Amino acid sequence: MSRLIKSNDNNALTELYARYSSKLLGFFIKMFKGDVAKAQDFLQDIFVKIIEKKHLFDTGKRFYSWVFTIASNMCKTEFRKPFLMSISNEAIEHENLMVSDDNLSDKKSFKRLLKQKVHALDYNHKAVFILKFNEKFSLKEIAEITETSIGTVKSRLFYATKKITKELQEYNPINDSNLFKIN
Amino acid sequence: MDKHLSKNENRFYELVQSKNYSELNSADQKFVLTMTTQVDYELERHVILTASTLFEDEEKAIPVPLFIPQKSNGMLFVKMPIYQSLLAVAATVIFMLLVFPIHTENGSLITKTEYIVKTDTVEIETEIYKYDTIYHTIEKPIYIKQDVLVESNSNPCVSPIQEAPRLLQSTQNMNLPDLTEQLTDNKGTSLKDDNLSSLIVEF
Repeated sequence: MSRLIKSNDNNALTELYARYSSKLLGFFIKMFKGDVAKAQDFLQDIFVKIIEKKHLFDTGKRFYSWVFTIASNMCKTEFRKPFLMSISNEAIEHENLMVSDDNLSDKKSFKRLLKQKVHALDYNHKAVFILKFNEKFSLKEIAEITETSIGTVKSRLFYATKKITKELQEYNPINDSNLFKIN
Repeated sequence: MDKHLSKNENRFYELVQSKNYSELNSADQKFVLTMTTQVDYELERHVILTASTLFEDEEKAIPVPLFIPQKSNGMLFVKMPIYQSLLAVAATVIFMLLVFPIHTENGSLITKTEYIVKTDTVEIETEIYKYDTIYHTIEKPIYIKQDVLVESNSNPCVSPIQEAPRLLQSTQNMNLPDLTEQLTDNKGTSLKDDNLSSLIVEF
């Protein structure tokens, strides 16, 4: 992998893109609340960054983690833009109203509501939540990607889950036993 | 800022990530109930399980082909830090000034002269000129000729007696030498007896 990264071969770049583009695109879509066009732009940008900063790659580490570190930092920068965030939050509130009108007794509606709650999280909580439960990274890898400690990652995961659960309490599983029937 | 988890919070979170409430042993169930209710535990467990399949649709998205803008490898396209660019510009300007110094229309080099004012003790010798009117009193005898008629009986060849000179405008206390005899002394016409003749010869 390090040979592929360090080389200037176009075939190597194509190989890297083939391996990681889908995963990275999915991550960007999740982070940007389903905005596919924006995620596609970020996907192009991240590969340009990889080419430009390939000398910064530590061959002792996993390339996968390194790429997600760059992706995470790009998302963090984007989340800092207050104007864009305010527009996104307005979109979530609008969607919330629409979901409230739906019948939440089925799994699909609960999933939809849960997705909204995940999107409503702040960057730090959302990033660790998605990296853990969707990208299936270990706590140690998440700590590397987010450039924090494992303790911080655990803490963010705990409080993110607690917050979502608290906001979904009104949809108590006792009301519909089928909804929360696991396996 | 989230605080780090306590030992109980850590244990609770590990349980909720791994097991349903019904799968917990009695000790764990008792522990869980000290932290939360069964309903909340099951809801939290359900959130975690649902989260893993939450974004299935998003993961089906197909990435567009990679487009990398072609960059020239020429020297003009080499990236360099800003400070290096500024140093290069400064070095170029200095070099140009050294090679081609700026001249004015008169051809003289533009220089900036700084005058440093130093205070020191200076001794100045002054000459004071006093202008005044000085009156010199010049005493000059004025001779006035006056003919005097004298009766002569024996020697008619005797020259007429001249009146003694009188000083005009002279002070009364001055003692003037009597030059009468010297002036009237007959020296003769020959230079033989004249003392001044020796000077002529020598000359």
